[in-house]
Amino acid sequence: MTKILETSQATKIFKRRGGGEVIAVDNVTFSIEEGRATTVAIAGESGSGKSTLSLLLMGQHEPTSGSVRYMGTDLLEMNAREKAQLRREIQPIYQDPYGAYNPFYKVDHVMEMAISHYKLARSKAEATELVVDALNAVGLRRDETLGRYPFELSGGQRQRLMVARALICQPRIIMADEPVSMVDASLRATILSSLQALNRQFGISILYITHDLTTAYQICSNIMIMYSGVVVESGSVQQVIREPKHPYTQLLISSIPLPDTTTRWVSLDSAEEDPTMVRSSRETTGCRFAPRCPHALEMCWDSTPGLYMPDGNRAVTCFLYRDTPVLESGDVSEVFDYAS
Amino acid sequence: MQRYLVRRILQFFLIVFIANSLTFIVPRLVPGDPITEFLNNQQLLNPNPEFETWVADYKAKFGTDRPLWEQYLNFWAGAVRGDFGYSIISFPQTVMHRIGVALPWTIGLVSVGTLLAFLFGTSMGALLGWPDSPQMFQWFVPVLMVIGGIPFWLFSFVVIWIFAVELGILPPAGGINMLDVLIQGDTLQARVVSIAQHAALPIFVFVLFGVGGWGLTMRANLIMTLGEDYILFAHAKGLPESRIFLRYGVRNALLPVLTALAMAIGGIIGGSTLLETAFSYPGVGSVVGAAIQQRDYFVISGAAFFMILSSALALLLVDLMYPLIDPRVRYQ
Amino acid sequence: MTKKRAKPSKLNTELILGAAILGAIILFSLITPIFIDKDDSLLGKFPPNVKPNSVNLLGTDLQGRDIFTTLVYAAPQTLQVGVVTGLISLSFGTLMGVLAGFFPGRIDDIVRFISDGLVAIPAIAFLMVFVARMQNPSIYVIALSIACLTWPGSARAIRSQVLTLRERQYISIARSNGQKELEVLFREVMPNVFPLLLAQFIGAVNGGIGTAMALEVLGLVPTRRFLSLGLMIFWVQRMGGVLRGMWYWWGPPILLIALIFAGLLFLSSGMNVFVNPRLAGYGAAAKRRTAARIKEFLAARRAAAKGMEPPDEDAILEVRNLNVVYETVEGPVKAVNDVSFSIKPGERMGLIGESGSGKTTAATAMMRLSRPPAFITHGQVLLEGRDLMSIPDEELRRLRLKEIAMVPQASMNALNPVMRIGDQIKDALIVHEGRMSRAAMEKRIAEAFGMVDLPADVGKQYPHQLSGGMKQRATMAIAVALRPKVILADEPTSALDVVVQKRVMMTLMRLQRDLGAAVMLIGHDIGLMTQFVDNLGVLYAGRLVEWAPVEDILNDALHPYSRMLIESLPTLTRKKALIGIPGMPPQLLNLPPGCPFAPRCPFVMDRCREEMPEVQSPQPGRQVACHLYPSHTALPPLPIRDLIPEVLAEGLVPQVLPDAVAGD
Repeated sequence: MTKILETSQATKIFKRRGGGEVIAVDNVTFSIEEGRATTVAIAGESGSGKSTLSLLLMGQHEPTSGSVRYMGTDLLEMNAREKAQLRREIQPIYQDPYGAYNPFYKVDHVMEMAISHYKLARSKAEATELVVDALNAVGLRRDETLGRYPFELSGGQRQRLMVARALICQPRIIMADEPVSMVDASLRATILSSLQALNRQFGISILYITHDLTTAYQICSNIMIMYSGVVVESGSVQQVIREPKHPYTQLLISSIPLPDTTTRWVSLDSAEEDPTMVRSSRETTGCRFAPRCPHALEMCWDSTPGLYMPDGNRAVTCFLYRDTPVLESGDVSEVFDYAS
Repeated sequence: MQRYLVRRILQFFLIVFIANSLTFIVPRLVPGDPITEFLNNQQLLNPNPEFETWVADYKAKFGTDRPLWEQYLNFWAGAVRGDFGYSIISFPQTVMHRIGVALPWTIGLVSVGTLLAFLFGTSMGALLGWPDSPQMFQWFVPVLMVIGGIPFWLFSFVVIWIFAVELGILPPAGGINMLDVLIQGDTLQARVVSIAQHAALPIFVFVLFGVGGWGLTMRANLIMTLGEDYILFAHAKGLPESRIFLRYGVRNALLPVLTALAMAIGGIIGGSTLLETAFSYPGVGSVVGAAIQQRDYFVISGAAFFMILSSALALLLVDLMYPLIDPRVRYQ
Repeated sequence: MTKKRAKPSKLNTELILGAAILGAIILFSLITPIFIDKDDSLLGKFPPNVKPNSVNLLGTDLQGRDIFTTLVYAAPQTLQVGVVTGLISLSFGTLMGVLAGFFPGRIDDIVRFISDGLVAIPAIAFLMVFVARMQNPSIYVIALSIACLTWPGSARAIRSQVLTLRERQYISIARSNGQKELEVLFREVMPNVFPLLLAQFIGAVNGGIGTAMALEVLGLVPTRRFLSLGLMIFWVQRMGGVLRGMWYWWGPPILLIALIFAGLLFLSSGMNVFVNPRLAGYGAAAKRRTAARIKEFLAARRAAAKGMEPPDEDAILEVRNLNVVYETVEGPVKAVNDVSFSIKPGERMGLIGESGSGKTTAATAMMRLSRPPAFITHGQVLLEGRDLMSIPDEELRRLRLKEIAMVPQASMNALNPVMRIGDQIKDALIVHEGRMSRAAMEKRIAEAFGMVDLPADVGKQYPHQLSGGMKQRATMAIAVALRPKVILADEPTSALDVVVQKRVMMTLMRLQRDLGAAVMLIGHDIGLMTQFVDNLGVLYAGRLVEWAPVEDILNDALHPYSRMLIESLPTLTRKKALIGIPGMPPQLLNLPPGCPFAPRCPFVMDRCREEMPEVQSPQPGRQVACHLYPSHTALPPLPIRDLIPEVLAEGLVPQVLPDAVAGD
């Protein structure tokens, strides 16, 4: 099976001003395959490397080591035609629905540009039809969006228009970077549904980059949890989020304030009891999470854990599961669930 | 810290070097030279039969008969020793002598003027920016705007006309009236009084029409600062208005204005040329003004050297001073 | 969070004034020459030094030239030199600025190196030396030389504008649309640089006139072939015109120069406001009303306080009919509209709302901290019976922090960046408790930090040296240092990651319990509210639409908005159809009569569009403002099929709908 987009041991190291370096993405291998359209969340907190990974995937950063390939060609060795193809077939959706539109033009501008540059229509009528079809696909009505300036639309409408624009370009993959974090809660649902609809109706794979595990759970089939550049746990959302195995995933999920009164946080007598506290100031050369890990073993401090598969659709980068089978290829998408 | 200091000081020398090299070389690429021009003019008034030798003599005396690179090296060799050659017009006098005599006058006049304008201006700006100050203060804003926008030296004429010509209460020109001083027995007190009398009008122009810029900058900064979240939080802490105004508002708004003050002091030598010319004040500005009218080229370029030096010094001062007054900025 | 592009503003007074002044000068100098014999007047055929009379309107100068005519010919030349200089300088600046801004790296470095170097050279020094060497330079050569030195100013401004613009997301979108770099530059970037160019041009003209005039006055410009206002001044100075008392000689050119500069000034400041309407603020008229209105309100409050209803004995804080209005250029905006609720001692209450719902405005008003353009127009806030809205300023100041404290929104910026954190607690302690010994003070500060789990040496640090979570705690330490009875926490964790957020909230929870304080938590995250508060108020468009124990709102909200908001939330317990709230959030300006939620409500009735619903209490301990009550006792099930656009529902809804319906 051909791989559309793949990374192989991709690593990105940034030099820090005044010496030192930061490993933003550490040895990440995964792929999206042709004919197996999926929705993958790349989740983590700020500084986890999720955004850097997305920039590597779109060719906007070069990996320090390892490679990123699109349709089998390394992004660094692409000619102009292949680059143009990559640019068209991986379409981004960004965080800020306000900044995505040039305030100088009406919102139609972004659609027209896509159609004219990718020569998608032979006539004005055909172009209009394309736009209207795309708007319908994301649940927008033509008369309430076209012909207006961006500031005349709500954040939700603007973001769905962006989804429609991406669809017009006929991409293979949509890279959505925190598409709802700047939109009011009541408007988020339709944006997320429209992304989901694109996956189901048009077979477009969605890479959903987010810090919010609840939306990731709702719209994605698979998830990669990142911590300090490392994919610490990956697999189907049902398994990773419902029964997290990595101590970090567990901490992350237990920290989410759920709208559920049966699991209320209780007030603690002292800060020491707080599970979110950093436990140790010891330096680690092994697992990055060791200083905050309640289960840290001696080996965690000086050797780096590999990927273990404690159960079906899941891989965990943690020594607690060292007795389970090892994921030899290191390709975390091997454990993805494509059935749901 | 030490590395920063060394780098910053090296940068200072680099700026001085490049700026002076440019002002030395670029004008010399223009055809013609000031000595021939000067002698041409002399020839019209007072014909000299051996014009060619005359010119050659003069060129040798000023060193302009040498190739450009040699002149350039000589310029730096002289500049390091504070020697900028001779004045063309008042020949045996050196450029350094003419500027050196005038420099204290300029520094005295302009530093007092700038500091007073700064003090009045920022206090006024602070009052204008404070929401609790009387409403009628707001009428000052457009006035300050217009005053701040017009080159201040233009007002010299008005001031001289009113106070010196019509009212006759202050001297219209000069830096000191030695005749008066000698009549009074050349006491220190007599000198100070005379100097103060002569400086009064130029400083008055400086302050009255310089406050506009300072006032508006301070007001704008203060309004920005007062919109910050930490001011709201200071109110929520129950601090008294006066404390918030001074400790949180004015203090924070003043930081960028101090940079501007340092830059203004750096511009002292260049900035007062027109004012000094208007008042015939015996400072560098007047020397430059006279030199320009007489086409005394070497005096002009010597003065330019000092202007470049002082503004580069001000830049250096700002960079070294800022980390001390703003903890967010560190030496790096 | 929301950035709204303001509508293009109308022409403002400053712009009109500036254009009028400059226009009048240009018109004057175009028309008058028709009536004047130039040769006669300028060749000095008149007797010298004549005072103004009917022949020579402004008299003659020492060379027998008519001053009025000189003026008429000099003014346009001065303007022309300025415009030419400005144009050349701006063209250089634009070219360099755009190149440097749009093509970072080598080109940017080179341009910046040159422009930084040029900025360090005092322009007048170089020009003096340069122009002095030229023989009879043309004024345009001088204009060119000035422009060569002054372009870095506009280049810098344009570079930084282009630099910001090229980082905008719509640039990335354009690239994804297949647009090539040059097309991106001209089609997407340049239209947005244009307004800046206009402003820069006026600045460049201003600088051009100023510098050229300085050179003229100094006598660097040949005086024979050229006529300008600067040269008139030069001659006045040369001939001692001031000391001769010839005010009619130097007065008019100076006045004209001042007018030109004033005109340019008004034009540029008007242009800035025109291009960036936010600078205009909320209008000068509203500003003038500020002080008067605050006084009026206080007087009215004090009068009303006498006849007020007795305070609720059980409540520590009671908000009654709070109204806050924003004065905007377009008109008043009701940001908080008749909000009432009360908090019991030790209670944890939440106030939830989306952006623009008025939650922060309400919290700020509750401590009477509203700043223009926000005005409290009506209402009482009773803290243990004292009305914070009407007590004297000084009394209110003493209550702030000591009795009622605030953890502000965006508390990243709540600390003074140039003051040590310890000093920021210290000044509050001194103000409220008076001077104390150094040791006692240090003990109090350490205690405050201890309450929020921060080490005491944080006090010696500046805010920028702390992480986001630590800054949040430091702010909280200040808020609780005096053990207040009520704490208003406005989105205290909005910028933090979930793990840090939980840690900060756990600290707040422990503090609340130990101090026995009542906490009002303001936010937009229902999950966080559920974890923290006992009672929850829901704000929509400045109205408190529902108020109830948090379990009740979560399990069976009475107001359609609350229900739909909860329904739209993704959860971790099961995958379900995500139902958003259709339509747009309300525009608070010119809010139509009736319920603000009516346009988006699936249960809307005719009455809802006409009449603002009163607060009802269909169940004990609960309040809701909706016309469905009191005729209903609970909210009917949501018509889910109508709420999901058909296309999105396809393939989604059948699979999840039974589950979702079962949950209702």
